[in-house]
Amino acid sequence: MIVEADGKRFELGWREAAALIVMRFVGWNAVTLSDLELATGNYVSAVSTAARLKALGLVDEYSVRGFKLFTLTELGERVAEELRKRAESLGLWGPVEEALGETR
Amino acid sequence: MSGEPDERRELARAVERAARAIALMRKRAASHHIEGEVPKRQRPLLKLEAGGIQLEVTDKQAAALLVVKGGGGIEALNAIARATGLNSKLALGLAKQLERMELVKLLAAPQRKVVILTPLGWEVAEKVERELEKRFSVG
Repeated sequence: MIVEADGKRFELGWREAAALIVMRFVGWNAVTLSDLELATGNYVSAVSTAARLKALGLVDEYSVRGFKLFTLTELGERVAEELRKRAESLGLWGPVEEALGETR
Repeated sequence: MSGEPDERRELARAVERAARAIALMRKRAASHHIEGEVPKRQRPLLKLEAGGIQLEVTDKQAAALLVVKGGGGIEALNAIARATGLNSKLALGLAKQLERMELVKLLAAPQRKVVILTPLGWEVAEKVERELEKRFSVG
């Protein structure tokens, strides 16, 4: 899928899109690799998704004492918002609303 | 994004997957949740000027800043807790206090928390270090 933000076009697969949505809407400002594993399916996908999002300038990676944390860049936040808007306009956003509502 | 069938399917899959991950992460987070509490026993250590403003730095704040500086500007919150002798609740409160002073940025996932010095925090940490060296230098 192609998403545009700040005049740039990003071609994202479902794994990258899922990771961005999780990072933007889960409710805290950093995620671990095992969190990304939940969004992308497995460890290898989590690593490659994080690397691709980082290369696109959508995610920052912080490494300290043997673990890594990932945060959205400002551009990453805007792309995640575009994904939300598009999903809402297509009537697809319900599951995320539900997930947030269940645990609120 | 055009909303064509393939893209719609990809987006639907992404949303479904993200929703499942969010639900699970938020349930897991409940067991890791701690509220920060600013340590009450903090002694004023020094006053300094940084970034054009006057700051008063306490002993605990100075220790935390020096620990993060020692890590190259980034350090795990539990390392700060160990170095300052605070429990995780108080260490989190201290980190939030430093964040309000714009000296650090706190990156917080429920099970992992990391503190990063801002440029102002780095400047303050350097000044604290110099001042303490001066105070405790022999002769």
